[in-house]
Amino acid sequence: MILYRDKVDIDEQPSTPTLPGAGTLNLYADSAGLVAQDSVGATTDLTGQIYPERLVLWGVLSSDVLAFEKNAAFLPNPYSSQRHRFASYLNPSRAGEVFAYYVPLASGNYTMQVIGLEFSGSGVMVFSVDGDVIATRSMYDASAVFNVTYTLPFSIGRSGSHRIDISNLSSAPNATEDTYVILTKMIITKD
Amino acid sequence: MRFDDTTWQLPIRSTHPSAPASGKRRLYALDDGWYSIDDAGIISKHSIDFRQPLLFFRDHMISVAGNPAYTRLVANSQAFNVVHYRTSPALGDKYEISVPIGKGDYIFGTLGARGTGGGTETFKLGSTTIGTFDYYAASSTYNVLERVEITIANADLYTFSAEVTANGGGAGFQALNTCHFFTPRIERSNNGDFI
Repeated sequence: MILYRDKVDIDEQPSTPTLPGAGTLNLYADSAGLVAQDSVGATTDLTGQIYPERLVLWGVLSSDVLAFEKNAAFLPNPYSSQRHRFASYLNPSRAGEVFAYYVPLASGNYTMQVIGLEFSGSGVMVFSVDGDVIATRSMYDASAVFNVTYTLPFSIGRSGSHRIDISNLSSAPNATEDTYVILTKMIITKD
Repeated sequence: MRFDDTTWQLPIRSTHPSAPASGKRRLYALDDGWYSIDDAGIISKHSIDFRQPLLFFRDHMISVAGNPAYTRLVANSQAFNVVHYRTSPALGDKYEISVPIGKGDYIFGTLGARGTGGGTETFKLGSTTIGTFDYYAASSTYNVLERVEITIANADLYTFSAEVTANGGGAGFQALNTCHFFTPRIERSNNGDFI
Protein backbone atom coordinates (compact mmCIF):
# COMPACT_ATOMS: atom_id res chain seq x y z
CA MET A 1 0.00 0.00 0.00
CA ILE A 2 1.18 3.51 -0.81
CA LEU A 3 -0.35 6.41 1.11
CA TYR A 4 -0.62 9.83 -0.44
CA ARG A 5 -2.18 12.95 1.00
CA ASP A 6 -5.44 12.50 -0.93
CA LYS A 7 -5.34 8.95 -2.33
CA VAL A 8 -4.27 5.43 -1.47
CA ASP A 9 -2.80 2.84 -3.85
CA ILE A 10 -3.76 -0.69 -2.83
CA ASP A 11 -2.11 -3.82 -4.25
CA GLU A 12 -4.64 -6.03 -6.03
CA GLN A 13 -4.88 -9.36 -4.18
CA PRO A 14 -4.59 -12.53 -6.29
CA SER A 15 -6.75 -14.42 -3.75
CA THR A 16 -8.87 -13.76 -0.66
CA PRO A 17 -6.68 -12.35 2.13
CA THR A 18 -6.45 -13.56 5.73
CA LEU A 19 -9.58 -12.89 7.76
CA PRO A 20 -9.59 -9.75 9.91
CA GLY A 21 -9.94 -10.03 13.67
CA ALA A 22 -13.29 -10.05 15.45
CA GLY A 23 -15.03 -6.70 15.34
CA THR A 24 -13.06 -5.41 12.37
CA LEU A 25 -13.71 -5.18 8.63
CA ASN A 26 -11.16 -5.72 5.85
CA LEU A 27 -11.06 -3.44 2.82
CA TYR A 28 -8.97 -4.84 -0.04
CA ALA A 29 -8.70 -4.69 -3.84
CA ASP A 30 -8.73 -7.44 -6.43
CA SER A 31 -8.69 -7.24 -10.20
CA ALA A 32 -12.46 -6.60 -10.29
CA GLY A 33 -12.65 -3.82 -7.73
CA LEU A 34 -12.89 -3.18 -4.01
CA VAL A 35 -14.11 -5.82 -1.55
CA ALA A 36 -15.18 -5.67 2.09
CA GLN A 37 -14.54 -8.80 4.21
CA ASP A 38 -15.77 -9.44 7.76
CA SER A 39 -14.23 -11.52 10.51
CA VAL A 40 -16.15 -14.69 9.56
CA GLY A 41 -15.13 -14.49 5.90
CA ALA A 42 -18.24 -12.99 4.33
CA THR A 43 -17.26 -10.74 1.45
CA THR A 44 -19.20 -7.96 -0.26
CA ASP A 45 -18.23 -6.50 -3.62
CA LEU A 46 -18.30 -2.73 -3.31
CA THR A 47 -19.80 -2.48 -6.75
CA GLY A 48 -20.92 1.07 -6.30
CA GLN A 49 -23.19 2.81 -8.72
CA ILE A 50 -25.56 0.63 -10.71
CA TYR A 51 -26.77 2.24 -13.90
CA PRO A 52 -30.07 1.42 -15.58
CA GLU A 53 -30.10 0.15 -19.14
CA ARG A 54 -33.69 1.16 -19.73
CA LEU A 55 -35.50 4.21 -18.35
CA VAL A 56 -38.96 5.58 -19.04
CA LEU A 57 -39.65 9.29 -18.61
CA TRP A 58 -43.33 10.23 -18.76
CA GLY A 59 -43.31 13.41 -20.81
CA VAL A 60 -43.60 16.59 -18.83
CA LEU A 61 -45.72 14.90 -16.14
CA SER A 62 -42.94 13.96 -13.72
CA SER A 63 -40.23 16.31 -15.00
CA ASP A 64 -38.69 19.36 -13.41
CA VAL A 65 -39.99 22.36 -15.34
CA LEU A 66 -37.67 25.24 -16.03
CA ALA A 67 -40.26 27.70 -17.24
CA PHE A 68 -40.21 31.40 -17.72
CA GLU A 69 -43.72 31.74 -16.41
CA LYS A 70 -44.78 30.72 -12.92
CA ASN A 71 -48.28 29.99 -14.13
CA ALA A 72 -47.28 27.33 -16.62
CA ALA A 73 -49.53 24.34 -15.99
CA PHE A 74 -49.38 20.70 -16.95
CA LEU A 75 -52.14 19.19 -18.95
CA PRO A 76 -52.11 15.39 -18.72
CA ASN A 77 -54.75 15.01 -21.40
CA PRO A 78 -56.50 11.68 -21.93
CA TYR A 79 -56.28 11.55 -25.70
CA SER A 80 -58.42 8.59 -26.66
CA SER A 81 -56.31 7.69 -29.70
CA GLN A 82 -52.93 8.03 -28.00
CA ARG A 83 -50.96 5.16 -26.48
CA HIS A 84 -51.63 4.88 -22.71
CA ARG A 85 -54.43 7.38 -23.35
CA PHE A 86 -51.96 9.96 -22.12
CA ALA A 87 -49.86 12.84 -23.37
CA SER A 88 -48.73 15.89 -21.43
CA TYR A 89 -47.60 19.38 -22.25
CA LEU A 90 -46.99 22.76 -20.70
CA ASN A 91 -49.85 25.22 -20.87
CA PRO A 92 -49.64 28.02 -21.78
CA SER A 93 -46.75 27.06 -23.98
CA ARG A 94 -43.93 29.60 -24.23
CA ALA A 95 -41.20 29.52 -26.82
CA GLY A 96 -37.91 28.47 -25.26
CA GLU A 97 -39.41 26.67 -22.28
CA VAL A 98 -37.60 23.63 -20.95
CA PHE A 99 -38.53 20.58 -18.95
CA ALA A 100 -35.76 18.36 -17.69
CA TYR A 101 -34.77 15.16 -15.90
CA TYR A 102 -31.70 14.02 -14.02
CA VAL A 103 -30.93 10.44 -15.01
CA PRO A 104 -28.01 8.17 -14.03
CA LEU A 105 -26.34 6.78 -17.15
CA ALA A 106 -23.17 4.75 -17.67
CA SER A 107 -20.82 5.71 -20.47
CA GLY A 108 -21.89 4.25 -23.81
CA ASN A 109 -24.31 4.61 -26.66
CA TYR A 110 -28.05 5.03 -26.13
CA THR A 111 -31.22 5.40 -28.11
CA MET A 112 -34.07 7.57 -26.93
CA GLN A 113 -37.42 6.72 -28.45
CA VAL A 114 -39.91 9.55 -28.08
CA ILE A 115 -43.63 8.86 -28.36
CA GLY A 116 -45.77 11.92 -28.88
CA LEU A 117 -48.38 13.43 -31.07
CA GLU A 118 -48.28 16.08 -33.74
CA PHE A 119 -50.88 18.73 -34.35
CA SER A 120 -51.40 22.21 -35.69
CA GLY A 121 -50.36 24.01 -32.49
CA SER A 122 -47.09 22.13 -32.08
CA GLY A 123 -43.60 23.52 -32.45
CA VAL A 124 -40.09 22.16 -32.77
CA MET A 125 -38.87 19.85 -30.03
CA VAL A 126 -35.23 20.22 -29.04
CA PHE A 127 -33.55 17.28 -27.28
CA SER A 128 -30.39 18.06 -25.30
CA VAL A 129 -28.05 16.05 -23.09
CA ASP A 130 -25.98 17.97 -20.53
CA GLY A 131 -26.68 21.17 -22.42
CA ASP A 132 -25.61 19.90 -25.84
CA VAL A 133 -28.33 19.79 -28.48
CA ILE A 134 -28.61 16.23 -29.83
CA ALA A 135 -31.54 16.60 -32.20
CA THR A 136 -34.51 18.73 -33.19
CA ARG A 137 -37.81 17.46 -34.58
CA SER A 138 -40.75 19.43 -35.89
CA MET A 139 -43.94 18.25 -34.20
CA TYR A 140 -46.21 20.30 -36.43
CA ASP A 141 -48.91 18.73 -38.53
CA ALA A 142 -51.97 20.43 -39.97
CA SER A 143 -54.16 17.76 -38.38
CA ALA A 144 -53.64 15.66 -35.23
CA VAL A 145 -51.39 12.63 -35.77
CA PHE A 146 -51.24 10.24 -32.83
CA ASN A 147 -48.51 7.84 -31.66
CA VAL A 148 -45.72 9.52 -33.59
CA THR A 149 -42.29 8.15 -32.68
CA TYR A 150 -38.88 9.72 -33.05
CA THR A 151 -35.70 7.66 -32.63
CA LEU A 152 -32.86 9.78 -31.29
CA PRO A 153 -29.40 8.21 -30.72
CA PHE A 154 -26.94 9.80 -28.30
CA SER A 155 -23.74 8.96 -26.44
CA ILE A 156 -22.60 9.40 -22.85
CA GLY A 157 -18.89 9.93 -22.34
CA ARG A 158 -18.57 9.51 -18.57
CA SER A 159 -20.74 7.49 -16.21
CA GLY A 160 -22.71 9.58 -13.75
CA SER A 161 -25.81 11.73 -13.37
CA HIS A 162 -26.78 13.43 -16.61
CA ARG A 163 -29.36 16.01 -17.55
CA ILE A 164 -31.95 15.37 -20.26
CA ASP A 165 -33.67 18.52 -21.52
CA ILE A 166 -36.69 18.80 -23.79
CA SER A 167 -37.43 22.30 -24.98
CA ASN A 168 -39.11 24.10 -27.83
CA LEU A 169 -37.38 26.41 -30.25
CA SER A 170 -37.71 30.08 -29.48
CA SER A 171 -38.33 30.70 -33.16
CA ALA A 172 -40.09 28.06 -35.20
CA PRO A 173 -38.76 27.41 -38.71
CA ASN A 174 -42.01 28.34 -40.39
CA ALA A 175 -44.91 30.60 -39.63
CA THR A 176 -47.46 27.85 -39.13
CA GLU A 177 -45.62 26.17 -36.25
CA ASP A 178 -46.57 27.16 -32.74
CA THR A 179 -44.77 26.19 -29.53
CA TYR A 180 -46.51 23.19 -27.96
CA VAL A 181 -44.50 20.02 -27.36
CA ILE A 182 -46.88 17.18 -26.55
CA LEU A 183 -45.29 13.94 -25.41
CA THR A 184 -46.42 10.64 -23.94
CA LYS A 185 -43.06 9.22 -22.90
CA MET A 186 -39.38 8.96 -23.67
CA ILE A 187 -37.77 5.51 -23.48
CA ILE A 188 -33.99 5.55 -23.02
CA THR A 189 -32.33 2.25 -23.89
CA LYS A 190 -28.62 1.35 -23.78
CA ASP A 191 -27.51 0.01 -27.17
CA MET B 1 -4.90 11.94 5.49
CA ARG B 2 -5.71 10.89 9.03
CA PHE B 3 -6.07 7.50 10.73
CA ASP B 4 -7.60 6.70 14.07
CA ASP B 5 -8.88 3.46 15.56
CA THR B 6 -12.11 3.35 13.59
CA THR B 7 -11.98 5.87 10.73
CA TRP B 8 -9.83 6.80 7.80
CA GLN B 9 -10.11 10.31 6.40
CA LEU B 10 -8.95 11.50 3.00
CA PRO B 11 -9.18 15.08 1.74
CA ILE B 12 -11.83 15.45 -0.95
CA ARG B 13 -10.29 15.87 -4.38
CA SER B 14 -11.73 18.20 -7.01
CA THR B 15 -10.81 15.93 -9.94
CA HIS B 16 -10.16 12.27 -10.67
CA PRO B 17 -6.47 11.27 -10.29
CA SER B 18 -4.36 9.50 -12.90
CA ALA B 19 -4.25 5.69 -13.04
CA PRO B 20 -1.93 3.92 -10.55
CA ALA B 21 0.94 1.60 -11.42
CA SER B 22 0.26 -1.89 -12.79
CA GLY B 23 -1.31 -4.29 -10.30
CA LYS B 24 -2.64 -1.55 -8.04
CA ARG B 25 -5.99 0.17 -7.46
CA ARG B 26 -6.13 3.80 -6.35
CA LEU B 27 -8.77 4.74 -3.75
CA TYR B 28 -9.84 8.39 -3.35
CA ALA B 29 -12.78 10.66 -2.50
CA LEU B 30 -14.68 13.29 -4.50
CA ASP B 31 -17.39 15.47 -3.04
CA ASP B 32 -20.11 12.97 -3.95
CA GLY B 33 -18.51 9.82 -2.57
CA TRP B 34 -15.73 7.23 -2.76
CA TYR B 35 -14.10 6.24 -6.04
CA SER B 36 -11.33 3.97 -7.23
CA ILE B 37 -9.38 3.81 -10.48
CA ASP B 38 -7.59 0.69 -11.68
CA ASP B 39 -4.30 0.39 -13.53
CA ALA B 40 -6.14 0.57 -16.88
CA GLY B 41 -7.73 3.90 -15.95
CA ILE B 42 -11.26 2.50 -15.38
CA ILE B 43 -13.08 4.55 -12.74
CA SER B 44 -15.56 2.95 -10.33
CA LYS B 45 -17.83 4.84 -7.99
CA HIS B 46 -18.32 3.11 -4.66
CA SER B 47 -21.14 5.29 -3.39
CA ILE B 48 -24.52 4.60 -4.94
CA ASP B 49 -26.42 7.62 -6.22
CA PHE B 50 -30.08 6.70 -6.01
CA ARG B 51 -31.25 9.85 -7.75
CA GLN B 52 -33.39 8.99 -10.72
CA PRO B 53 -36.98 9.64 -11.74
CA LEU B 54 -39.45 7.16 -10.24
CA LEU B 55 -43.07 6.82 -11.34
CA PHE B 56 -45.35 4.06 -10.16
CA PHE B 57 -49.02 3.36 -10.70
CA ARG B 58 -51.52 2.80 -7.91
CA ASP B 59 -52.13 -0.93 -8.05
CA HIS B 60 -53.36 -2.05 -4.65
CA MET B 61 -54.94 -0.90 -1.42
CA ILE B 62 -54.37 -2.22 2.10
CA SER B 63 -57.36 -2.07 4.39
CA VAL B 64 -57.44 -1.98 8.16
CA ALA B 65 -60.70 -3.89 7.78
CA GLY B 66 -58.77 -6.76 6.20
CA ASN B 67 -60.42 -6.47 2.81
CA PRO B 68 -57.85 -5.52 0.21
CA ALA B 69 -60.22 -5.54 -2.77
CA TYR B 70 -59.85 -2.46 -4.86
CA THR B 71 -61.69 -1.07 -7.81
CA ARG B 72 -60.06 -0.26 -11.09
CA LEU B 73 -62.30 2.48 -12.32
CA VAL B 74 -62.05 3.00 -16.06
CA ALA B 75 -62.46 6.72 -16.49
CA ASN B 76 -62.27 7.95 -20.04
CA SER B 77 -61.59 11.50 -18.92
CA GLN B 78 -58.59 10.54 -16.77
CA ALA B 79 -55.03 10.31 -18.09
CA PHE B 80 -53.99 6.66 -18.43
CA ASN B 81 -57.72 5.92 -18.43
CA VAL B 82 -57.76 4.58 -14.89
CA VAL B 83 -58.28 5.53 -11.23
CA HIS B 84 -57.97 3.16 -8.31
CA TYR B 85 -59.69 3.13 -4.96
CA ARG B 86 -60.64 0.47 -2.42
CA THR B 87 -63.99 -1.13 -3.19
CA SER B 88 -65.45 -0.39 0.24
CA PRO B 89 -63.63 2.81 1.13
CA ALA B 90 -62.85 3.32 4.81
CA LEU B 91 -60.72 5.43 7.09
CA GLY B 92 -57.22 3.96 7.19
CA ASP B 93 -57.18 2.49 3.67
CA LYS B 94 -53.59 2.58 2.55
CA TYR B 95 -51.28 2.08 -0.42
CA GLU B 96 -47.60 1.24 0.25
CA ILE B 97 -44.49 0.67 -1.84
CA SER B 98 -40.73 0.67 -1.21
CA VAL B 99 -38.74 3.34 -3.03
CA PRO B 100 -34.95 3.93 -3.05
CA ILE B 101 -34.37 7.67 -2.89
CA GLY B 102 -31.05 9.50 -2.77
CA LYS B 103 -30.12 12.61 -0.84
CA GLY B 104 -31.21 15.88 -2.42
CA ASP B 105 -34.13 17.99 -3.56
CA TYR B 106 -37.06 16.31 -5.29
CA ILE B 107 -40.50 16.91 -6.69
CA PHE B 108 -43.12 14.59 -5.27
CA GLY B 109 -46.18 14.39 -7.45
CA THR B 110 -49.43 12.52 -7.53
CA LEU B 111 -52.03 12.31 -10.29
CA GLY B 112 -55.58 11.64 -9.16
CA ALA B 113 -59.20 12.65 -9.45
CA ARG B 114 -61.83 14.20 -7.24
CA GLY B 115 -65.37 13.04 -6.73
CA THR B 116 -68.33 13.12 -4.37
CA GLY B 117 -66.94 10.12 -2.46
CA GLY B 118 -63.37 11.39 -2.28
CA GLY B 119 -61.49 11.34 1.01
CA THR B 120 -58.39 13.06 2.35
CA GLU B 121 -55.13 11.21 1.79
CA THR B 122 -51.89 11.76 3.66
CA PHE B 123 -48.72 10.88 1.76
CA LYS B 124 -45.60 9.89 3.72
CA LEU B 125 -42.04 8.71 3.31
CA GLY B 126 -41.50 6.59 6.40
CA SER B 127 -43.10 8.60 9.19
CA THR B 128 -42.61 11.99 7.49
CA THR B 129 -45.65 13.59 5.86
CA ILE B 130 -44.87 14.98 2.41
CA GLY B 131 -48.38 16.00 1.37
CA THR B 132 -52.05 15.91 2.34
CA PHE B 133 -54.67 16.28 -0.38
CA ASP B 134 -58.46 16.31 -0.38
CA TYR B 135 -60.05 14.31 -3.20
CA TYR B 136 -63.61 15.47 -2.61
CA ALA B 137 -65.46 17.55 -5.21
CA ALA B 138 -69.15 18.13 -5.75
CA SER B 139 -68.76 16.72 -9.25
CA SER B 140 -66.14 14.49 -10.81
CA THR B 141 -62.89 16.33 -11.56
CA TYR B 142 -60.21 14.50 -13.50
CA ASN B 143 -56.45 14.89 -13.92
CA VAL B 144 -55.85 16.49 -10.55
CA LEU B 145 -52.08 16.89 -10.46
CA GLU B 146 -50.42 17.77 -7.16
CA ARG B 147 -46.69 18.61 -7.15
CA VAL B 148 -44.70 19.63 -4.07
CA GLU B 149 -41.04 20.25 -3.32
CA ILE B 150 -39.39 17.96 -0.80
CA THR B 151 -35.83 17.54 0.48
CA ILE B 152 -34.37 14.14 1.32
CA ALA B 153 -31.66 14.41 3.99
CA ASN B 154 -30.42 10.81 3.81
CA ALA B 155 -30.30 8.30 0.98
CA ASP B 156 -32.29 5.23 1.99
CA LEU B 157 -34.88 2.68 0.98
CA TYR B 158 -38.06 4.43 2.09
CA THR B 159 -41.59 3.15 2.56
CA PHE B 160 -43.90 5.43 0.61
CA SER B 161 -47.46 5.37 1.88
CA ALA B 162 -50.72 7.04 0.95
CA GLU B 163 -53.32 6.66 3.70
CA VAL B 164 -56.89 7.88 3.92
CA THR B 165 -56.71 9.94 7.11
CA ALA B 166 -60.09 11.72 7.01
CA ASN B 167 -63.22 12.06 5.00
CA GLY B 168 -62.95 14.75 2.35
CA GLY B 169 -65.28 17.69 1.91
CA GLY B 170 -68.09 15.13 1.85
CA ALA B 171 -68.47 11.96 3.90
CA GLY B 172 -66.46 9.67 1.62
CA PHE B 173 -63.13 7.91 2.02
CA GLN B 174 -62.25 7.09 -1.58
CA ALA B 175 -58.55 7.38 -2.47
CA LEU B 176 -58.87 8.31 -6.12
CA ASN B 177 -55.37 7.97 -7.55
CA THR B 178 -53.70 6.99 -10.80
CA CYS B 179 -49.95 7.32 -10.21
CA HIS B 180 -47.25 8.87 -8.04
CA PHE B 181 -43.73 10.04 -8.81
CA PHE B 182 -40.48 11.35 -7.37
CA THR B 183 -38.16 13.37 -9.60
CA PRO B 184 -34.73 14.80 -8.70
CA ARG B 185 -34.74 18.58 -9.03
CA ILE B 186 -32.52 20.39 -11.48
CA GLU B 187 -30.21 22.90 -9.76
CA ARG B 188 -32.12 26.13 -9.26
CA SER B 189 -29.58 28.75 -10.24
CA ASN B 190 -30.72 30.46 -13.44
CA ASN B 191 -33.61 28.03 -13.75
CA GLY B 192 -36.49 29.98 -12.23
CA ASP B 193 -38.97 29.16 -9.53
CA PHE B 194 -40.73 25.97 -8.68
CA ILE B 195 -44.05 25.55 -10.48
